[in-house]
Amino acid sequence: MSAHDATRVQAASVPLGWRIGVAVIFAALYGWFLFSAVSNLVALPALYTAQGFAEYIPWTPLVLGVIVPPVAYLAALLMGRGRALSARVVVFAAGLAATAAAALSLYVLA
Amino acid sequence: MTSRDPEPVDETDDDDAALSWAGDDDRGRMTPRLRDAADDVPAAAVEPEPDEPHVAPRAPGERVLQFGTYAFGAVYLAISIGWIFSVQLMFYPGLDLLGEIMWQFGEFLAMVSAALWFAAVLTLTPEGVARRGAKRMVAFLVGALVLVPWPALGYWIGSMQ
Repeated sequence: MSAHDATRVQAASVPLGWRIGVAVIFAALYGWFLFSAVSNLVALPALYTAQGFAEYIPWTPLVLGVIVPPVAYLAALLMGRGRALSARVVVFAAGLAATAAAALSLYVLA
Repeated sequence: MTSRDPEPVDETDDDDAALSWAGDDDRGRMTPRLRDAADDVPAAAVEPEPDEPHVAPRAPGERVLQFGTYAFGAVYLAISIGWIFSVQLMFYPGLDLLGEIMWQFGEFLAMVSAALWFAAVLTLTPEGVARRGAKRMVAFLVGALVLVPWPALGYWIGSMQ
């Protein structure tokens, strides 16, 4: 039996409650970054406009900031399917960390 | 000389007796080790037992995959160092406590993002996966592009100009 097959066998034994629990916890963490990005998308254009800098609104980083968290979460959810619980957690954590890094990069580039 | 006089002691024999144990002479003689043809053959030339598992030599593709993994490991280490520098250049722009806590959490995540991505790629491409090498290299490449530490990179580029 290869390591790949062993992983599949382990995944079949993961209780449904654990799988849902991990997904929900990481959804809340990803959700914070989505909430933060949406807040920026709503507040910053109005602030720029009020200051008379409407033409300098950084739309690309603002929109990317909203897109990245749900896309990263869905990608981690799909890639973790059929795997052991530890593998799911690692993939979710990697996606969350990439989301955080992207958020900081977009903040600097904005 | 009377019968009660002690016999003259042969000191040489006593010394030999003191330095040896009964049965020493028999040691090694019970099963004499006979010299045979195998004694003249160097150890390296002795062929392994036929029932030992045969270890297949590593395929060239596996070696390339291993080299690629090490190379991307070095790149990801550089990315981690870049993020450690990056978080020292940034500060939370707001005043609320929750936002400050989550900002610090985000900075921590950014610092460990390269290590987590690397671990995730290794986890998702175990031995036995179809087209394992290509998948692993593409995943490493995507991660290296996504995790570029722009704050530190921008600072270094700006300081050089």
